Amino acid sequence: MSVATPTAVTGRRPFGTAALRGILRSPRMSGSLVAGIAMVALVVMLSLFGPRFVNARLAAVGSVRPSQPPSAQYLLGTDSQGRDMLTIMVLGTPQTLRIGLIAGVVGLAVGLVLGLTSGFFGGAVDAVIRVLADSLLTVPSLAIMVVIAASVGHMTVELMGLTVAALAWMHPTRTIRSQVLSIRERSYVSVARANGESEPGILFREIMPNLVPYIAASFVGAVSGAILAAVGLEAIGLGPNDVHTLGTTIYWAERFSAVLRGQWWWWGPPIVAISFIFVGLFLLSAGLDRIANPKLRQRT
Amino acid sequence: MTPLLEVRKASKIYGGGLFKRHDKTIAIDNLSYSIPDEKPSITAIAGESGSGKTTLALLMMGFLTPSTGQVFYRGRDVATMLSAERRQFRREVQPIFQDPYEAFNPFYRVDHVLETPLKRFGLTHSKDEARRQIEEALERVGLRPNETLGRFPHQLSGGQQQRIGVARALLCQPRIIVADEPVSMVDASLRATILASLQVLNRDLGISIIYITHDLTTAYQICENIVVLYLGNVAEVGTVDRVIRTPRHPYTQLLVSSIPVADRRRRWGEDSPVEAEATSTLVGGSVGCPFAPRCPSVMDICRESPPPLFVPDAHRAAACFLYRDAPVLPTADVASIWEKEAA
Amino acid sequence: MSPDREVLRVEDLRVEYVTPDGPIKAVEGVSFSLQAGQRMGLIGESGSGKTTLGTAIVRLLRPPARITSGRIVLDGHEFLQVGERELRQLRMREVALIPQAAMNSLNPVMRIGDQIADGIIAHAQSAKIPRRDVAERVARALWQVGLQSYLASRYPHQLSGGQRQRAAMAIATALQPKIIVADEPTSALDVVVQRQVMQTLGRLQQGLHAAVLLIGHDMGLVAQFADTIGVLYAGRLVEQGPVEDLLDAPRHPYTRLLIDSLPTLDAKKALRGIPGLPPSLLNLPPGCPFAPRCPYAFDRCRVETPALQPVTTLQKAACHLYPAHTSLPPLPERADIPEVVAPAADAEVAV
Repeated sequence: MSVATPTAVTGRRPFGTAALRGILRSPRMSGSLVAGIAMVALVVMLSLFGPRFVNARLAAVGSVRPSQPPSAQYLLGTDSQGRDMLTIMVLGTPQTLRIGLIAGVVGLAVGLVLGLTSGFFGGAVDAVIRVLADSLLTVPSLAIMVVIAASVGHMTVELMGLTVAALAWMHPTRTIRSQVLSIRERSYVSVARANGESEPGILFREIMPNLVPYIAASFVGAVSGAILAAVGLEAIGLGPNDVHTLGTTIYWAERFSAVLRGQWWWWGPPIVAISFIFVGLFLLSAGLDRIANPKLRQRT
Repeated sequence: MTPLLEVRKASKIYGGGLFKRHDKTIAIDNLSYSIPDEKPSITAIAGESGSGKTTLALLMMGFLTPSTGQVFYRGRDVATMLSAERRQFRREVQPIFQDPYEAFNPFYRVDHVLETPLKRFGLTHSKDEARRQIEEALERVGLRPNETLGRFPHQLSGGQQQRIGVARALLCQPRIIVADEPVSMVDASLRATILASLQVLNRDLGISIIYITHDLTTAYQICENIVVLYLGNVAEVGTVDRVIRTPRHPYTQLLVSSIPVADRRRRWGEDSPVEAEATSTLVGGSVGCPFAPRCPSVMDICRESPPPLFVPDAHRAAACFLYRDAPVLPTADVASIWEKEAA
Repeated sequence: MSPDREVLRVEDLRVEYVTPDGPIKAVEGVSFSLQAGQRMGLIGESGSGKTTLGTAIVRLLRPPARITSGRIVLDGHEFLQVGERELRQLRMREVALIPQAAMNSLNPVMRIGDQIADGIIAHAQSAKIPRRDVAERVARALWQVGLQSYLASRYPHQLSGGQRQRAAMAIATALQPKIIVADEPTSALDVVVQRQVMQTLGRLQQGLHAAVLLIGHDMGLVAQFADTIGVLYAGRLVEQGPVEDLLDAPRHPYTRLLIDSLPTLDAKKALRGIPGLPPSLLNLPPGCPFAPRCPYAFDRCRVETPALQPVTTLQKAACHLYPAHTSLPPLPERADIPEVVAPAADAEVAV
């Protein structure tokens, strides 16, 4: 039985404000998704445009009076090294996001290739990839990353991203593999074969488009996990030493006993920022999950 | 004359292997069946679930390879075909699936499934020509192009979706269409229309139709011939008039008597069949007639060796020892029962 | 035959689905009644509202579906008015639902016997069933559907399709309800098993002297089982009557066309479908919902919705041909099979 949607009833797709209303009312849009998009968009905007409005020199050691609580002049106060916290936050957030993005993209790309190959071709290839992914999933990733990070001489944002990516690809691989396995059995794949489609054609034209929600959800998950791992490594001092990130700020705060000294404006803002990013990514991920899994959509 | 499509002594076995010897399932057991080239036919392959009818369909379409035996198309073994021959095979033997909605990729509009074969098989040379052929195919199955094209599958009814499935098969210019339960998920009032369109394709375009079903009444209505399968073996084969109206094999008799007829003068009766369901699928190592455990007329010989196909009357054969006085079908190919020479 | 008492009366029931695009009127003013021990069949195709009706009768509708008006009188109780607690007591004890694909809704990790016992125990207090009697009742429930008692200790995956369906029937009827609503109980089953399950349902009905409402789309199946048939179209009851009368001389054009479209084993005939599509329940056109596809339609049909009225002593039909006629006139000629060839003749109304 066909669904009564405006397109179904009139046969034409709406555009303009009607389209926007249609999208917002669509069952795919949930509260989580909208909130998640909003939060993440806010952070991204801040990261893209924020650095233009701050004076980077204020983030250098000794550039301002140290250990000042928030005031009109220094909105987030200053740390005990004489750096302006607001500037640090505005410069550090994009770096944290960059690490997450690098790790997320690399992890997802590897996961996509391996997951598609494994799910579609099956057999020995599948067995090898599966065993590899499963074994690495059980490894305590943080421990491995600590070892890797500690052995790197000069840690940069890019290297940080790659370190985290090394152990971020397994989950996307498994997710995508299982989706491919289920889609592979659908009638429409057989119909495509009957239509003369080649096997690669089936992979790219029939299976991939239906993976988009899962790819998106995996990406968000990978970025989220990557930021967490990165912050963890940075907080124990293994982060990049040439730029500010949210995690390194926490490290320095701890190192200089900001907690004991009651300098909440030093350790507070990075934590708030990290939490905000996580909640945003989580809501986004939950919203995407609802699109990918229609059963979650019904509110009964 | 070389048959168009031939299944020769084919078996399909699942499971088994080194560690799971007891889990072997025989979906198709040493079956030979061919579709002639000269005259287009409409044949039903009937059976319940577990009969192997879908497996046979997949073997005929080349979607499955037989565990033993071969499948030939235009005289060439499908397993060793060259790529050009394979393309022709793929194009000329087209499926229609049971679930109308599942046959569509939800990401695309329905146009996608109609445009793809024209492109992949190189059947048209311009977009206009493609568009014209698609519209013609849709009209041939009773759909209006302007109400169908440009829509997503979920915006159409099951009946419309299934008709698009028929149109799609048609666009490939096939010689054979294998329809797997094409109307079982469609409303009763629409079934007649879809089945009628299959008949028209057969009559006007010379396409042979293989109609896979468990519904003997629709099989009777549109098919000339029928093969009744039970647990991977042929139980009975012949013209629909013979097999369905005067079934000889006890299994066919059971099937026909279980059909719910919309007529109060012909009731099912209160008696239940001995065992309504096959309690096991055919496993490696069992001997005798597969229907023996459930057969009301079972004899000792039935449990000892598998019955060959006996021909008790013209144009019908039954694999049942009740007819052991009748001649045996001379060739393994069950389609030989329909040849004019066999009397 | 002594007049049995009425166990179910549905009066002008209306159910709609609330959607962002407006209400979908799935059931529009259906009324009928069932006596004890009576077998009634409800025939309808997809979009006819038959499953919604069945679910509404047992008050198991979930949002966005809701009952907007009407009465259901269940063995004297005003079923739509009773509170939660009484509702739960009445369910299973008075009325039971065997839902579609029931055999797939068995809990895969619970034994059959435990699943049957579940329902019994839930009602133990209110029905005053001592716990020790539960095992006995489980055995009886299984026996009622022709399943052997050893199956109580098995899991669903160890049972065949037909056995699972009968197990689902045992669960539903464990408390020996007076009314059984069976929604397509054999839809996924093979024809031989289907016969067995339907015969089981028949014996179950006789044993309990229960009234059965059998909902389905297979006219043959329903005709084999039911004594009375109601035909649903676009949420309305368009015809109702005893099976034999309805099959021999249907009074509503839709019933007539439906029966004509059924293939038979008697003789090969030209296959006739019903052209067009069922109407969209979102924007029902005024007048009779079947008018666009009806070969007998005239002007009044497109303006005024016909009410269900008696045509003979036992048969009712909702059609403007009555009471002027006493039965359906012969079908007007159709530019028919192969209707697939001439697009102009086929009125394909998109939903």
